[in-house]
Amino acid sequence: MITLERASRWYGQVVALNDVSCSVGKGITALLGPNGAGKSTLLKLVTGQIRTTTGNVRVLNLAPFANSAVYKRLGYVPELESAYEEQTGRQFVTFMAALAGIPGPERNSRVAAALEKVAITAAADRKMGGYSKGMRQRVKVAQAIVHDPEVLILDEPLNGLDPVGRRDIGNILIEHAAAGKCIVISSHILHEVEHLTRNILLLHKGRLLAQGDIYTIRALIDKHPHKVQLECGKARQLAQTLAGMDSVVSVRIDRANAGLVEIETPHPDRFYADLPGIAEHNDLEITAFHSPDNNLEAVFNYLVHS
Amino acid sequence: MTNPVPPPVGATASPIADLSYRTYNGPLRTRAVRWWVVALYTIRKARRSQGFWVLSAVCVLSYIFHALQFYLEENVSTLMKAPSHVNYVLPFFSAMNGNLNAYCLMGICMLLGAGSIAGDQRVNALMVYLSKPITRTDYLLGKWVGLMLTIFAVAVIPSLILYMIMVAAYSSSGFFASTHWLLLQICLAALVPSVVLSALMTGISAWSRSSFTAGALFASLYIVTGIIANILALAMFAHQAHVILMVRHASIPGIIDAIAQRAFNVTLRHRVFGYSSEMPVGAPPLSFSLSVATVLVVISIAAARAKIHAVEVVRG
Amino acid sequence: MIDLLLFRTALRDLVRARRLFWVGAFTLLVPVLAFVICRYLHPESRTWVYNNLAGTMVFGFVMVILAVLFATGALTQELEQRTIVYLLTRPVSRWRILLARFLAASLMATSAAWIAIIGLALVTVGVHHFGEVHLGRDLLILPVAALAYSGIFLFLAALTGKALVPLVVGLLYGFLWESLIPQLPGNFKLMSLMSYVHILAPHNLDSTSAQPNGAAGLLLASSSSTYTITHTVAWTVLITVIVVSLTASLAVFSVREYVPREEAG
Repeated sequence: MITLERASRWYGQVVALNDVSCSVGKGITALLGPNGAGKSTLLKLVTGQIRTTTGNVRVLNLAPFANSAVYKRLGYVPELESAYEEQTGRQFVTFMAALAGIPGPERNSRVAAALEKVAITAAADRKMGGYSKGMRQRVKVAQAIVHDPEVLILDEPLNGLDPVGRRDIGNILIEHAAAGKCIVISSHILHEVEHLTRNILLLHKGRLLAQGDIYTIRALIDKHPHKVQLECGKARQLAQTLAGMDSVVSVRIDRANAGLVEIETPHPDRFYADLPGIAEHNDLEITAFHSPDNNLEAVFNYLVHS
Repeated sequence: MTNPVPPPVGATASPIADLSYRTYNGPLRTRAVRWWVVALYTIRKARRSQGFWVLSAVCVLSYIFHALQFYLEENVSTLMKAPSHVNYVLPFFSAMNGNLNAYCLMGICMLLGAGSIAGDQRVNALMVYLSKPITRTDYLLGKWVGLMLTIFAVAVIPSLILYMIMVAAYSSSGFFASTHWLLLQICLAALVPSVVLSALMTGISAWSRSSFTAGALFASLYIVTGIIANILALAMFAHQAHVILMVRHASIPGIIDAIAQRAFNVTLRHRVFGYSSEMPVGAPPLSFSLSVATVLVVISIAAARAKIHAVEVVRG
Repeated sequence: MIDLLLFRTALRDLVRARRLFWVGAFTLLVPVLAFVICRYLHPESRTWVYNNLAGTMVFGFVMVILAVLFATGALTQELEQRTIVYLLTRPVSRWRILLARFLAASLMATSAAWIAIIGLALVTVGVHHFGEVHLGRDLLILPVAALAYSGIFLFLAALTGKALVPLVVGLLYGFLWESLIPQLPGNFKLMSLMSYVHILAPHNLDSTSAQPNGAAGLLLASSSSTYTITHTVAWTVLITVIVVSLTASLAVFSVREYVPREEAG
C-alpha cells in the first residue's frame, strides 16, 4: 500500500532521508529509529506534506503530495501537540470529518463513535486549550480514524499517554489492522510497539537499516550470537554439558543467581533442536528458559551500534 | 541476569531524580553579569536574520536621501542663486525622525522581538532558561537589552557614518563650530526609541500566545496611540499650546518625535488630519517626554516580569 | 458545502473576542475623530471633514491595516500554531482552503471599513445627507480596495510561509511605500495601489505637503507626473491586482511545502 523507491530528502545540506526503498502492506508496521533518524521525514513524505528530493513515494499507487485522492483514504496523527485551542474536541473532530467528506447526517454518529473509541467522550465538549497531552493524543487519533481510512499513519502517537491510554490506542490499532488496514506507527520507544507488531522498518541516520519480521531479522544477524538463559537446579552440570555442544560458543553462570546459565549461540535453531535431547540424556531439569535478545531492543542495538 | 548500572558520579542514591532545578534557589555561580549571556544570544540571533539586514539597509536609504538633499541645498541651490541655509543638524534629524527610519525600526523590533518571549513560552524554552542559575530578572533584562542594543545599533551607526562624512566634507566650513553636541544629540535621539520600542515589544511578547499576535498588537498600539493622541489634541483645541503639545506627544511615535525635536533643537510643523495652521508647533519639554517614556518602559517591563514563570505550556 | 464550512470556520477564527476588540477600536476611531473635529473645531464644512477622514483614515488606514492583519493572519496563524498540517492532509484541494480564508479575511476588513465609513458619514453629515458625500461610491470601492490589498498580503504570506515577515512587509508596504512612492518625481505614483483607489473614490486630498522644500523640492516639482490615471485604467489595475495576486497566492499555496522549520530533519 505504501512504496518508497530510492527516496531521499535533503534540508539544505542536511540529508534527512537517504536512498530509502521499502514497501509497507496491510497490518501494523513499526517505524523505529533513534531521534533524528528520519522517521518524521519519512512520514511527512508518505502523508504528502513534503516532496522527495530524489526518488519516488507512492501511497495506494498514487503520488501523495497535496493529493486529495490519497487523503480521502489516509488518516494521519502528527507528532505535534498543536490544536485549535478555541475549539472543543468534538468540534475539531467534526470539522475534520466534514473535510474528509463524511456527509452531514452520518457525521455526528461517526464523530461520536470515534470519540468513544479513544475514550474522550467525557471531555469532548471542553475546549482543547485546556486539554492535557494525553487528551490531545486521543483527539488526534480520533480525527485520524473518523473517516475509517485504509492507511493510518501515526507519528509517535503514544507520547504523553498513560498506560491505560497506551493500551486503548494499541487496541484500536490492532482492531484496525485486523480489518485489513495498513498502519504505520513511528516510535523511538521500542517496548511501546513491541506488543503491537513484529513487523518493523528500522531507520538510522536517514538510512533504512532493516525491514520485515523482527525474528527473521534477528536470525539473520550472524555477527552477534544469540543469548539464551536457562534456569536449572544443577547449573554447573548444565554448563559443563552445554559447553560441549558444537552450536554453543560461550557459557556463563550468573554470579547473582547461581541457578542461571547463559549461553551464546550463532545457530539458535540447531541449539533449540539439540537441547531437549541433551537435557533428557543428562537428567537435567530445566525450569525456565528464555532468550533476552530475541526482541526488538536487541535487534535495534545490534543494527544501530554495529 | 544483568548487572545493575552504577549511578553516575555526583548522582544521588535515590531512585527519584533530582527535580530541584524546577525551583532553583541555590547560589548563582555563573558569570557576574548573567543577563549578558541572554542578551548576547539575542544579538547573535538578530545577526542571523535576513529580514534584519534588509530593514537595516532600508534605514540607511533614509540617511542617503537626506544627505543628498543637504548636498543639493548647499551646492545646487547656491549655483541657482537661491539662498543657502546651512544647518548641519538637519540631515541627521530628518533621517532619524523620518517615516522611513521610524517604520524600519518598528519592523526590526517586531521581527526580532515579537517572538523573543512568546516563542520561548510556546516551545517551553522558558522553563529550560529558568532551570539554569539565572533569575527571572536576568532573563528579562537579557531579552530586553539584547533587542535594545540591536535597535540602537541600527539607529546610531548610519548617523555616525554620516557624521564622519560631514566632518570630511565640511570641517573647513564651520561644521564643528555649529555642532558642538551633535554626537550626544545623535545618541539621545537614537537611544530613546531603542529603549521604548524594545521595552514595549518585550512586554507584549511576554503576554502573547504567538509571535504574530505580539507583532500585530505592537504595530496596532504604535499606530493607534499616535492617532488617539492627535484626536485628543484636536479636542483640546481651546487649551493652552503647551498642554496641546503634551497631549499630542503622549504616544509612542509622539515620544520619539518629541525627543528628536528637543535633542536636535528643531521645531516641526505637523499636519494633524488636515489641520496645520491651527495646531501649535514644536514639542513639549524634554522632561515631560522622558517621563512619559520612563512610565511606558517601567509598565512594559513590570508587565513582562509578572508573566515570566517556568510553567510548562501544553500547546505545541 | 465544504467550501462553506471552510469559510465559516475561517470567519469564526477571525471574530474571536480579542480580535474583535481591536477591530472595534480601529473602526470606532474614525467616527470619534470626526465627532471631535466637528464638535471642537470650526471645519470649512462637514463635507470637507468627511472627505478628509474618508481618504486618510478609512481608505488610508483602517482598510489597509485590517487587510494586513487579517490577510496575513489567515495563513500565518495556521502556520504558527502548527494546525496547518490537519488542513493539508484532508481530501480538500489546497486552493479551496486558502480561497475560503482569503474571502473571510477580505469580508472582515471590508465590514470593518464599512462600519467606519458609515459611522463617519453619520457623525459628519447625518443620515439625510449621505448623497452629498458619495457614501454609496465609497461603499462600493472599499471592498474592491480591500480585496486588492488582501490579495497582495496573502501572497506575501503564502510566499514566505513565515509568521512575522509578511506582517512586517505588509505594514511597510501599506504605510511606508504607499505614502512615500506617490511623492517621488515622475510617474512613481503608478506604483502605488492607493493612487488607483483614490481615482475611483476621490476625496480631494492635498498630497503635496510632505514634499521637501528648497532645491530638492524644486527638482521634485519640476519633474512631477504628467500622466493622468483614468477610471478605466484604475478599474483595470485594481481588478488585475486582485486576480493576479489571488491566483499567484493559490498557485504558490498549492505547490509549496508548509512544514514548521524546527521540525525539519
